[in-house]
Amino acid sequence: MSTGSPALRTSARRRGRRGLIGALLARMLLIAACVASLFPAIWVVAASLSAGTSLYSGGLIPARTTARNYLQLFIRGDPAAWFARSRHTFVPASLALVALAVGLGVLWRQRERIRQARLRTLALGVMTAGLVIAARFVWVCLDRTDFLLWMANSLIVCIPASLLSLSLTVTMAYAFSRFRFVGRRFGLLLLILMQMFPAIMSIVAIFRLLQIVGLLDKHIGLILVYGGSSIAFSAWLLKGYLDSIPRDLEEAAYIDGATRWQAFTLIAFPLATPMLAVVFLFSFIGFYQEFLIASIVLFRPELRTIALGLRFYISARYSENWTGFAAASIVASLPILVIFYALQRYMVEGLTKGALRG
Amino acid sequence: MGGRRPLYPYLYLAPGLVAMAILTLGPIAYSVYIAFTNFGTRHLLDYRWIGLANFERILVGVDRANFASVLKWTLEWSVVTTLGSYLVGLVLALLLNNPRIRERNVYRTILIYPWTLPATLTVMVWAGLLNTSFGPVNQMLQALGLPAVPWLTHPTWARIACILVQLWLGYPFVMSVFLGALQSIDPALYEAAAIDGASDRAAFRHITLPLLHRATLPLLIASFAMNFNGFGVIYLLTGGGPITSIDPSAPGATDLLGTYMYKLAFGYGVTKHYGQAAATGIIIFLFVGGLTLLNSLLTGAFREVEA
Repeated sequence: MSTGSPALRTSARRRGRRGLIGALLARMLLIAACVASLFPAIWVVAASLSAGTSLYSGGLIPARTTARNYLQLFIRGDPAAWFARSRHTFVPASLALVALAVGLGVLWRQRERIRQARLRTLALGVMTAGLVIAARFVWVCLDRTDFLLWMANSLIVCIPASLLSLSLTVTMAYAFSRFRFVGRRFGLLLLILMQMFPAIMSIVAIFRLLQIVGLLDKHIGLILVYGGSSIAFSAWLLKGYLDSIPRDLEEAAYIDGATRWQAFTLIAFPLATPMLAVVFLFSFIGFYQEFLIASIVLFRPELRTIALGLRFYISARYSENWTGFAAASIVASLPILVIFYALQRYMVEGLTKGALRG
Repeated sequence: MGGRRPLYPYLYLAPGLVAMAILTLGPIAYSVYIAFTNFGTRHLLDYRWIGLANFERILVGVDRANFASVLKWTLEWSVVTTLGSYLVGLVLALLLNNPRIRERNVYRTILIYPWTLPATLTVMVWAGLLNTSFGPVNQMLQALGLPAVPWLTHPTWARIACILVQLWLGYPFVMSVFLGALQSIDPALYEAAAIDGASDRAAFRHITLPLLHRATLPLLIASFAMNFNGFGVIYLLTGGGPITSIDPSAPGATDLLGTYMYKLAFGYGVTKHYGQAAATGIIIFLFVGGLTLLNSLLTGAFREVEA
């Protein structure tokens, strides 16, 4: 707040005491709102740590706390026996995983410092490869629990679907942002309408069409449906961002003799990279939590995504699986929560623009 | 660009448009076709064109009462959840905008969290919390000496529960939008008002509210449309139930048009009416599409296109 002007300062003094009381009241209301909105989270965390299995055993403060609910997501049977069995691989592999992840993060931040492009690429490549290998070793140590299977299925579906939707969207968004052509207005209108028409509304036809082409009950079928369903929204979001990048650089490139394609790939595309990541994660989050389409396209239990798997797990025996469900839903939500807080600014901006205009 | 119409924009558009035509518009066109057939478990292979019969059945025929009651509840649900989350979001944003509260970022970070979690999972959690016999919500009510509430099993309470959960899910986004709008209001406006001797209340009424209103009205319509399309919350919380009639094809107390359509096609009933479900989907689309067009016209989303 600016308090620079004398008039404002006078008025601030005039309402000083009332303002203090107001702030106190506002604080109380805000704390009450925080408590109310935290209510489910508190209960779930408590349940996930509680020793029983049922809804009832999860009191606000569990009588006996345990990490068992978390451990059983990754390990079958007795954790101590598992650890004795696999510690020779698991401990070094997970340490390497963490070290490599941190190293990659640091390297990425400092990448401008490394002058030679080849060295930079090499270093990032080696780190990434190491990361993949370490993750592979950790993965080998873990039991094939249902939870891990569902998480893996979610990644198998959501990453390709997000990449698909992004790759289909990039040039489209660029064309809508930079070119003027016959049918542009109609195209934009189509994008807006498609955003408002969720895929679930044509689910009967999707089901039938997948059945006809033989992609029902396969991950690839779900990937295609997801990939198509987010094109309109992603294109609209990306177009909005491209609109905000000044055209001067591209125009300068044209003067230097660049072709349209070069202006796009060498100038606009690199500038839009952060937003491409955001659009990718947007789609990813959307697919990750999608339940209904997945429930219609996939039948086999071993294909279930995390949302689907947890739904069947909890609705089968509500009272018996509650604490395990609580731990699973926390672990499954954490990555999304982290992504979300990191991207909060873009989320608000993007969704506002998506609903309003490019 | 001269007289010739350039072709290159369409090359850039091609991948996205072709994919949309196959993956999105294709299914929509196909569901339009299905809506005019008697495709269903009774006519799984021998389905044929039956004209407007599905629409007649829904709008004037045997299913008129079912459709009307679902439509009524869908409208009630959309209005209450939209306005409710707007009100809650607005009040919280105004409270958070008070610069005297130094730690307001802490509150904001906490208050935004329902939005940051995968909604599917949180709704499933709510279904457990609201469980009538064992759910923590009722345990707490009983600890306070209040009677247990049949949250998910009594028609009226189930509706209230659905609305409350949707509010919990929906307010953080609105709050964030309002906070953004509040922060973009030029402080000079308030200074000018103070110089002119306007009271705080007058400044709020004549500066803050109109500017917020202008920034968020289109969003109001968009989120109404989203809630009208609402699906996940109801499906995962109550499954559309509790049932209100012994007729298995009758909608439950909390069935929205979306979940009602889903039940017609994939529900527990023995006979599945794909054609009728597709017709319901089209009616929903016409409504939401109309609303979206209206919204675009109101906000002038295309004005920029002409430039």
